[in-house]
Amino acid sequence: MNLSTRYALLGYAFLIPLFLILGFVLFYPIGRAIWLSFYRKIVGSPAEFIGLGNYIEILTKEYFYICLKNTVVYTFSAVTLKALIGLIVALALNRESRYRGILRTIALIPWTIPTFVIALLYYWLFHTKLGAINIILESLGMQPVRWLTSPEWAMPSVIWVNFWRGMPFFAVTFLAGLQAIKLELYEAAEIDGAGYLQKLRHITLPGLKYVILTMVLLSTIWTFGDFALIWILTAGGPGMATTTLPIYIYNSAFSRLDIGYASALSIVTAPIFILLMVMTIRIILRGE
Amino acid sequence: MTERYCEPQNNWIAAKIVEWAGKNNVDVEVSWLTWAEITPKLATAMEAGTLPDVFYGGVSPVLMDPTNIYTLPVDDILNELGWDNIFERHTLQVKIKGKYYAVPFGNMINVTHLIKSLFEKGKKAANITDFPDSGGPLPETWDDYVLLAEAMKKWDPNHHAFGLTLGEGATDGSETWCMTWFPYGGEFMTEPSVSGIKFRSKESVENMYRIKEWYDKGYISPDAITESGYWNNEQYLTRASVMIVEGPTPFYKATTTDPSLVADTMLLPPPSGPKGLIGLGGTYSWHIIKTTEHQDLCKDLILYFYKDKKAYTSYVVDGACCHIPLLKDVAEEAAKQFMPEIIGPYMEALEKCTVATQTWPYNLPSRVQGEIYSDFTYAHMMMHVLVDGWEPEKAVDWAADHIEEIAKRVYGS
Repeated sequence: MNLSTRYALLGYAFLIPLFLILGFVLFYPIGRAIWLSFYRKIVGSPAEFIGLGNYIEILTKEYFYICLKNTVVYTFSAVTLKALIGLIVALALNRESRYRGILRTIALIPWTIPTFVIALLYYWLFHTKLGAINIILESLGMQPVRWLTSPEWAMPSVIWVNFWRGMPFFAVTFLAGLQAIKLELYEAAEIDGAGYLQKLRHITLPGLKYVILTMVLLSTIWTFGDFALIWILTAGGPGMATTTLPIYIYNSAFSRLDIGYASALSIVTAPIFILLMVMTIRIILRGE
Repeated sequence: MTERYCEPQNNWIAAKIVEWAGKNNVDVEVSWLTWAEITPKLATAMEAGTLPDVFYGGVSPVLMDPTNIYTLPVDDILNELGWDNIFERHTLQVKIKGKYYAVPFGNMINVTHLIKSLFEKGKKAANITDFPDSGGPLPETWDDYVLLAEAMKKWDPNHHAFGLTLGEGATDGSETWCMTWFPYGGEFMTEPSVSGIKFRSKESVENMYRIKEWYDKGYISPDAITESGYWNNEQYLTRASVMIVEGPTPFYKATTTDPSLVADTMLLPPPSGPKGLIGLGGTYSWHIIKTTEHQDLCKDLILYFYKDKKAYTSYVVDGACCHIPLLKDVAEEAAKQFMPEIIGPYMEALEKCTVATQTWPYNLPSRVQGEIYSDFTYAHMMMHVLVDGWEPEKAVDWAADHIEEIAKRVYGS
């Protein structure tokens, strides 16, 4: 065996632990989930092979489409808000100001708080009878709002909390992107008489294009799979008003104990994530 | 171990286990479950072969379904405790085909917590002196309580008299269904078989209409429809509702946080219906799992809890007597020590009621009931009507299909 072959083999040998770990935490669970998805498997009962039975049930049941719709609404609304407001905040924080440092720090605070803490804080803020928001509304002579307990307000409320939690990350990332845009471009534009909006449209946004696209796609992946926030705030209720696909999968596995069905749901949802990941990687590579 | 509402009681049990273990030179490991975890975790442990030696909690539908009993008979323990000193009615839920498969430690029934000051305001606003069904100044039936709810609306249009939980995520939603359904003739099952499941019935549809009517009229808080909404305990502790129906666990909480609420509370039998006074109740019991390799040690541990009667009495009193003990002399002593004027009516309610479990009228454990309890079938059904706008018939059919599907899997077609 020559030296280069030996070095190559050594390289592969170093990769073995990685593949073992990947196999254990990734390939085996995925493979098992795929296998389980073809079975009716209730915890405590023997598994029964049903072929495509779980998939047929998913695709012919209204529940799945309600959850899919909720997930799309939740994701699209939260990500759009985070991107738009994040950009506005980034633009504001990019301006020269003696308070810029402290404002940037304050803007990042929601991102540093653990998700479950934020969810619990808002759970109490939104409480119909005891929450601070309704107490303030009532003191102003307004009617209290059932933020988490009415079908009309529950989804906007969880979207708001997701936005509040995630916007700072957008803002900080956009801010970093803004810093990378050459100042000479703005100076040249000013000389040519360009106003603020023109500079925004022709310099800032094009300069941030790949950052925006990457952040939107990443946030879409994260928000699509968001579980903890909705679970703590509403547990998917009232009714199915805030039941998204992750909540539905969780309930199928841990309330209904039907892990075959839950596995099939996960498999059905996977292509959406794969598509988003592929798009993200392509944009990142194109940006490089 | 199922964690209980009363921290001192949890600590007492854990301490007793450690004490026993120390005296007998035994290694023990204690893990705690919440109510909603009982079925999923026991079912998972059963599958994985990791069941404990002893389980303490509500009579387990996973471990004690009569078609697949996973616990050992404990007649010898009960014999040793002495039947003369045992409340036999507490043992009925653990007696299967003449043998006892768990040792009850504490029995509880859901009772009405009535807040006196609000109650008087409502009665005054509607000029009520006596209630039609009870014939007296206190309500007895659900119809009497509906009259009270209407009276409370006269006093305050924003008042929601029935502090009932409806939502998913909280097992109390299931209890609301049962408490209103059983007294009006509702039945879950009559025997452990598919044909024994009686959920699909006109009584179920009628009860769904009843709950919908109460919800639409504002007798139940609109926030009650979610887990994060208005939990019944909260409605009592914040005095938001004139009444709730629950085991006296919220009452216990009030004894530790709000003595004025305790003084303002009456504990009454639960509301009855045309089929009589049927109270939803249950018993916390010690179960010895049949896979244990330490049967004698398990029996010794269980007996250890009953032998020190002074400690057992303190345990009961620590929980504001919400759990009536298995032993008569302990119950008598506890009632003397703790607010006899309040606990007395509670114990009388326990004596007067026909105690129903969620498998009423079968009243023995069922895996089917355990699964629908942990997946909140009743709450989902109510949400379909109250939130999604389904017709009650459709919602009841949906729930019945689900229950019967589980029954086919558990009991065979």
